[in-house]
Order: sequence, then C-alpha cells, then structure tokens
Amino acid sequence: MIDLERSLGELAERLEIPGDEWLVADVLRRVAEPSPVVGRRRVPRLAGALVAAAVIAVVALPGPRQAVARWLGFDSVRIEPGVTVPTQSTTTTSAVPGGSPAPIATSAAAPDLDLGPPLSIDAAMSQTGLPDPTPILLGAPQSIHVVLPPASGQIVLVYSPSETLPQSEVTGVGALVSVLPAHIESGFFSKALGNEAAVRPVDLGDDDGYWIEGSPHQLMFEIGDGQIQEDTLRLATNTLLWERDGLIYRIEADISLETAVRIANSVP
Amino acid sequence: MWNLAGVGGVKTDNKSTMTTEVGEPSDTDLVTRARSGDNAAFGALVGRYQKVALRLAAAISGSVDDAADIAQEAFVKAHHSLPKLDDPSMVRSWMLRIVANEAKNHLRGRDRRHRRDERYGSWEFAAVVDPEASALDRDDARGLGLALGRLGTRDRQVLAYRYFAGLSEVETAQAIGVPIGTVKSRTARALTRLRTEMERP
Repeated sequence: MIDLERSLGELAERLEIPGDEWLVADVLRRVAEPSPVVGRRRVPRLAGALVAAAVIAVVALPGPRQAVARWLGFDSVRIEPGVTVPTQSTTTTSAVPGGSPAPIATSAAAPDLDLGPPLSIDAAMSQTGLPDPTPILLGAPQSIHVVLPPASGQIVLVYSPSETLPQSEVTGVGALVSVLPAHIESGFFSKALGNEAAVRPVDLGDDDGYWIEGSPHQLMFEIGDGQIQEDTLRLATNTLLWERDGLIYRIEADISLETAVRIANSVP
Repeated sequence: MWNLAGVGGVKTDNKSTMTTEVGEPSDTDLVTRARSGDNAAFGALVGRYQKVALRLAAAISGSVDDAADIAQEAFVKAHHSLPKLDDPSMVRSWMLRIVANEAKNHLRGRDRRHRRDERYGSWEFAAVVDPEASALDRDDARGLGLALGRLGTRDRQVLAYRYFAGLSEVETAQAIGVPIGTVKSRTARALTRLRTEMERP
C-alpha cells in the first residue's frame, strides 16, 4: 500500500512550477510602485477607530448605512450583534406567464430589503460570474436579485414563507440564500460577537461552516488587503455561512441548524 | 523568542518549525525591517518562502501555470498588510494563509469538477534521480495529483498546508484558524478520502 504522506511530499518536491526565478523581482517591482490606492489603504486603519461609532450610527439611521459600511472592514465577514429592525410585510404568490405557477415578489417584500429589481438566474450568473446557489431542497426562489457590493455583485435568492420556512420576524420572508466572493475569517466571530448572539463552527463535509443564532445581528462583508470595495449591510435571523472555493454561501432563515445544514448540502 | 541551538547550529523560532542558518536574519528581523520600508528585507522573506508558496498555490488551485501569479498577488497583499501582522515570528504561516486565500479566489466561479481534472491532470513532474529512493513513478504521481484535485477544498487545503507547504500541525492550525486537534482529524480524514479517490477506477 502506498505511503500517502511520503508520496505527497515527493509529489510536492517533483511538481514542476514555472515562475520562481522572477517572483522576488516581480513582487519587489510591484511593492515599489506608487500605489494608486494610497488614500484607500488608510481606510482599514481608520476603521478600527470608527467601528463603535459606526455601528451605533448604522443602527440608528438607515440613511448612512451604506456610507458607513464602506468604511468598515478587513478581510471577509464580520458580524456585529444586537441590531433590531422593523418586521417586513408578507408576500404573495402569482403565476409566471408562459410557465408553471410560481411565486413572485410583491412590492412589499424583496424591494424593502434593498435587493433591487428581480432578474433571471441566468442573468444573475452572467452578471456576476457566480454559480447558481439554488438549494435543490428549496427549488426555485420567489425572486432572484444581484446586489452590490461587492463590485462584481452577489446573487441573493428570496424565498417566501412556507411550512418549511417560517416567516422571519426580521426579514419578513421565508429565507434568503446568497453567494458572494469573500472569505470566512474565523477569528472575527469570537471578536465581534457579544452575548446576544452565538456562533459555532459547523462541519459541512467538504466545507467549513458557521451557525449564528440568537438575537438579530448585522452581517458585513468586505474584501480587504487594502482593496476596499463597496460594502453593504444584511439583516439576518439565524444564519448558516459556509465557504467553498473562495465563495461564501449564506442561508438566513428562522430554521434549525439541522434544517439549514440539509439545505446547504443540497446546493450543487 | 529565539533559541540558539548550540554553536554552529540553527536558530529556532519556538512558535514554528522553521529554522534559519546562523548569520541569516530571522523572520522577525526581516519583518521589522520591511515594516520600516526596507523592501530588500521583504524580498528576502519572499525568496525564503516562494517555493512553498508556489507549491501551496498549485496544490489548492490545481494550476501550475497560474501559481506564480497567485503567489505574486498574495505577496503584494502581504506587503500591504504587514502592519496588521500581530506576531512577526508567525510571518510564514501568515503569508501562506494569504497565498491559500488567493489560490481559493482563483477558483471562484469556475471550479467545476471536470475543469479540476484538466488542471490537476496536466501536472508535470521532474524525473526521479534515484528510483530506489522514490515512492512514485510518473503514473503514480499523475494519479495522486488527479486524486488530490477530486477532493473538496477543505481536504485539499489541509493536505496542501501539511505536505506541499511543509507546515507543522501547529502552523497549519494557525493558518486555517482551527484547533490543532481539528487539523489532526482533518488530515486523517483527507488522507482517507485521498486513498479512496486513488483507488477509484
């Protein structure tokens, strides 16, 4: 039987990878170049000092949410606890012309979540370059949206309340499922969460996940390393987050962890 | 923080298995100098870890052709983020974590399994110098590469850190952000799955 550990070491040694002869020079040339984003790189340093005030401002005033969010962030996902928002109204269903009966968004549901106009999944995938996040267990969503930020967009699926997906007191819908290009930095969770919400790691087989429950919380994401992108705030109930191949998938719904995991495992 | 392992020996960072020859600046020294604007010191860090960075990038992304671009982008980001590095003695696992994230970025939206087979199946290997000492012939190597590509990202990541980048279990735990026991169990599971993939017809 092959000694896998020894074989992997040998595989690494013998793998031919071009480019190492220029790598140091290329890196030094780039770090010596005047940065086109010098002003923006100050943002992460400022962010630390602004976090406390910013969160208060975000909670109190919907208006500055986006502006504040742009100033926050390091790598990936950050969670701030203790945010409450008004309950949204309910949704109805209708028929799609030329197709089988399917639910569509009412003007009181998804639009109130600032998700923008609905579009087809093909258009959303084409626009963002992201894969279809539709869980097989949930099937076609009520509506599909592309939300900025990040600049390349994230796909958000809105599901109506149902027997499986109780109406969320926070979002007013049954579930939100989304995919965006970002990373999970596990260190954030212990630092950012207070006593009002709990987070725990979840084993999703091939993927690392986190389950966040408790009081409603804000979820902010941003891609860091000096590259500050447009940001947004999401209002969540219980949330399952997981990372797969450089993408973060998210299910927000008033459901149990067990149900969320089953749904997550049905995302292709 | 640094211990001298006797005259003519090596300096060993007690938080890392990495060693440097006596007379060479330590990682901490290089980070300190790089933070003060000494780009040559940062270049020395890149030179010290470029080989393992390239291997890590290739193992996670599957693309040897893009590994240098991935590593370059990661090192540039690391340079910009040096002020955020809490413990300079941890720079190796910290930089390799950035490389791993960059390699995962590379996969975004296009990591369909058949494309992975193409990438991992295109790996080329240096000839064996001493066949007696080698565990792999060329076919074995190709099969192992393909099997690695068929693993999930988490399995590939832990194997890449351990066997391609040569990180210890402690360093791997730091890089991934999980307890060391998790690294042990994930490594064991990943090796089991790798063996299953190799035996798959």
